[in-house]
Amino acid sequence: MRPGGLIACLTAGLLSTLAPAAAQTKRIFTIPPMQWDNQMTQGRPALSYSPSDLGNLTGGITFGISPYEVNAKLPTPAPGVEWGDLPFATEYPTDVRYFWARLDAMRDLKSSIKGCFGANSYVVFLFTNHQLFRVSWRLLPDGDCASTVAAAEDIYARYLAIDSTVSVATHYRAGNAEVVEITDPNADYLMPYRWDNRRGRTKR
Amino acid sequence: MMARHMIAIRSGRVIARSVMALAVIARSVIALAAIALAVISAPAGAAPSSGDISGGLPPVVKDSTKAATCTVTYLVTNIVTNDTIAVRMQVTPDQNDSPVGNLMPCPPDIPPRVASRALDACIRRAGDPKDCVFADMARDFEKHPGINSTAENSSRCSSDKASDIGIACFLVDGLQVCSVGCGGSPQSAIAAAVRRCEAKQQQQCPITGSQSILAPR
Repeated sequence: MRPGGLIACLTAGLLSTLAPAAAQTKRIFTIPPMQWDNQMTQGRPALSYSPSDLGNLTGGITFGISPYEVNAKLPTPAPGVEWGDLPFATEYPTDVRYFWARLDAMRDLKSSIKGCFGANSYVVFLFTNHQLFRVSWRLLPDGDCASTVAAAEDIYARYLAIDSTVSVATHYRAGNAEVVEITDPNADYLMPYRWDNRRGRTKR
Repeated sequence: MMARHMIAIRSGRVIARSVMALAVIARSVIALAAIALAVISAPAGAAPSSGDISGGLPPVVKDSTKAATCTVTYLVTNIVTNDTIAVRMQVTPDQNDSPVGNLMPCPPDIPPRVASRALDACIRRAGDPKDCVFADMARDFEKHPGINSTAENSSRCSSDKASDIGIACFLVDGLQVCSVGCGGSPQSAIAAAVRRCEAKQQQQCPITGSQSILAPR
């Protein structure tokens, strides 16, 4: 290589190193504060929350209600939602049953979403002992929405605002799906069990 | 006859006075009854509500100069989802504490259990506890991702020293490697985080964000 070519290569390399990377805003989620005593020996939630605070976000859907009651609170209730007819959620070790509804047919459960979500995205309501213990948003990308990350973050941020003594919000990925869930803290033995779609869970 | 006439006149005067007195009493009773009836039957809305009191809330409630409680805010991150959570720890002031610049002082030393509780906020929501770390990461974090490659004390800011906490990251193979900074504004907190990130990681750190240290009142 001629000296001129070498200098040009080095200059290009240097510039590519120094070129400013595209700036990107990182979202920082917030949760309700904790209150500690002066010696910082014990901490507790600084604010108190009740199931009605969760109901205000979900259109009246709160943990502990029956499949029939959940269905009745949806904008377009499905016919014949009864415990005995519900399919089993086999990812759980105990008798957990569910029904689902399309996300685009929701009202309160999609009201915070600003980012796009695929047309096939849906919401699953999971029950144990005839009582709702988890709501799971499953956001699937498609041709019109290549990434559902922003939509998942919108949902996650909304439910993180409720203290974990009332509702525990989680966010993870399963295959190419973004999953956001809220779980009843009283059903914490079911907390570790998560949806793992057939395309396999990926780390990032 | 004359005497009898005088007695009759006196009796008439006495009766007339008595009748007048009774009329005055009756009028007073009617007026009092009317007032009582008006008070009892008045609609609730007509009574002065708290909003009708001129001057608004009592000064002790309205006091906007109340010093802000010490708040220590941590940034914790889930390295699988890259979600970062600001965990605010408010500290009850000591009786002898006095505010400086409208801010209550924070304890000089923060016990490790407080940091542990901050990390719990991530762990409770993560698929695996090992996914959760403090947001200020060591050099080569991407090669050794885990809690031992992060600094708890550099991942927090106190409200008596700064108003905002910032974060600056770069992306390597889908993982955000970050540093944390404190500042007197969102911009200065981000600038402090960028300086720390670029000095430590020898990388440009273009992914940035900030949060106020104090919880919204």
